[in-house]
Amino acid sequence: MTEITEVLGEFENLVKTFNTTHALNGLSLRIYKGINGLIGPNGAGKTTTIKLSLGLIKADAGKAEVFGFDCWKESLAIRQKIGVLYEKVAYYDHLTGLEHLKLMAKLKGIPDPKAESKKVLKLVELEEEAHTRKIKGYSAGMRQRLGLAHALLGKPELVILDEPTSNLDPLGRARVIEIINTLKKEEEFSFLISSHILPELQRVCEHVILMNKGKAIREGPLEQLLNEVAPQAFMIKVEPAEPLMKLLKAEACVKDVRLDEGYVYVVVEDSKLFKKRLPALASQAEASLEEVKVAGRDLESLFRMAVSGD
Amino acid sequence: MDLALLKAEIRKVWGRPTLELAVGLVFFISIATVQPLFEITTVGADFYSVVTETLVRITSTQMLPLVILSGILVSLSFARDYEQGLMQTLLSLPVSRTSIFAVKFVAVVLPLTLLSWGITLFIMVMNYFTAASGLLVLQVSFWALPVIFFAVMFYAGLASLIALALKKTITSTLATVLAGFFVWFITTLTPEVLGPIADYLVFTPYSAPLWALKRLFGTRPLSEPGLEMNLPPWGFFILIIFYAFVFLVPTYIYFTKKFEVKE
Repeated sequence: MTEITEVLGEFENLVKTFNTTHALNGLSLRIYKGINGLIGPNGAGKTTTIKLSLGLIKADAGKAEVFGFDCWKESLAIRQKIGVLYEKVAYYDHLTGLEHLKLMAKLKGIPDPKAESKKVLKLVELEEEAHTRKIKGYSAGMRQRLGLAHALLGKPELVILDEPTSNLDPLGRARVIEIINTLKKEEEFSFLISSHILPELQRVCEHVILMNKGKAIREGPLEQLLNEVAPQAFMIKVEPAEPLMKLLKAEACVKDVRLDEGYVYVVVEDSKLFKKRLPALASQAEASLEEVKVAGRDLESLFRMAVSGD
Repeated sequence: MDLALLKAEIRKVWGRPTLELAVGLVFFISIATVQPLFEITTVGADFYSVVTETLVRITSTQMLPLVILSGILVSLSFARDYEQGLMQTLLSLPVSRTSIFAVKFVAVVLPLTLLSWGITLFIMVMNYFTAASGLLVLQVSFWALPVIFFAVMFYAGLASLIALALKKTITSTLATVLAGFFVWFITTLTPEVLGPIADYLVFTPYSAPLWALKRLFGTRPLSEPGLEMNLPPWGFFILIIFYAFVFLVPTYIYFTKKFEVKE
């Protein structure tokens, strides 16, 4: 894994309000050269952050810079160095995929639009359909792959992908992850990827930004953040769950208790003390412990822990 | 302004069945207003009056469909693209907002003007073109081009402002058509309703283009001459150029300086 050093983008204390909704609430983060993962629940402000970085939205307050350019005032300079795939993809549907990409490549100022379009179409395995079929006849997965090809046009310095695998089947998802890894290794692309599919993100990310309620709650190299998660979170299968949850909430060493997919998910401050107290608490609650396990050392656990502690 | 983008935008806005419906509507309404030559000549009007009055009449009847069409097409171009995400895609490209705005505006205004003028020219030529009158018919018909162009610009400017403010296709289409109808409706009000200000109706965005043509051709007013006689033909042309930009300039400033893609 490469060392993350060069900063591509820097946001400081960003505030953005839509009517009465605080989309960004003092967001500060950095985007590094390499693969950056942007994680957060729905409404955390991920898409707003992406739009802000491209100058589609103006922050109410704070500083936003990408490649040293102001995101609102100098967005044209930023857009010359960025390729983007949005979750909501839209094209000139009356064109074929190749025609659309040629047009986009031309607008990006790429010297040989046709050759570049063919190159990226080959990467996303959409060569044949893109030559003959109009986009309006594409499936959701094909549209997504065309969007990825669009984002990669002209080898941008930073590729932003907002939910890049949302419309893809498992094979398509694996292929996208493979493409991202290949491009990172062979062509030194940098990515900012926003996704809900955390196991896939974990396979490629080097730097992770966790967002919740419009701000970055954790940020750092993936390995460093994963080391924080274990062994501070536990998953407990218990019957009945309610009385034990009540008792756990009153414990000083417990930070958060939630019921999640049949498990009582517990985030603790002192894991040794918690393990010592748990059997007594279960007995007090007249509940039988069926399974107690340390939550995995993965992005999903990190995400749950960070969100519950926020 | 990028020509490849303009071509793609024109093909999108004017794709089937929009072009066919627009041609059908404008052609049907225009042809229905033409008075056959023999009807007019029987009352002793000279050929020049017949040609110019027909041109004014065709332009006048085209005005209402042009209001409706420019409202619908501009809403499709701006609001629908916003709703569907194409606006977001375009604004993320290294292309200036000025270029994108110009492309979207021109993709509606230019074909609509050419369609309307083309049909006018066709009808005029079919009716009045002879070896002796050919040049006169072409000269007279030519003047409809700038008048239609500036009138369409006015309604398209109004429609684009509404579409960018409301950002919803159906709502902005309805609001634009209603606004267009309102501009037309006030010109139908009588002096009994409006009182002395009725005289000023000749200067409204709906009437001014027609008076520009009438004053240019020296058409005699049907009733007592009013305030329109105080303004020379070029005065009316300045007025319709002013109207063409009155909504366009603030819309352009809003789009380039303030417009945000929130959804």
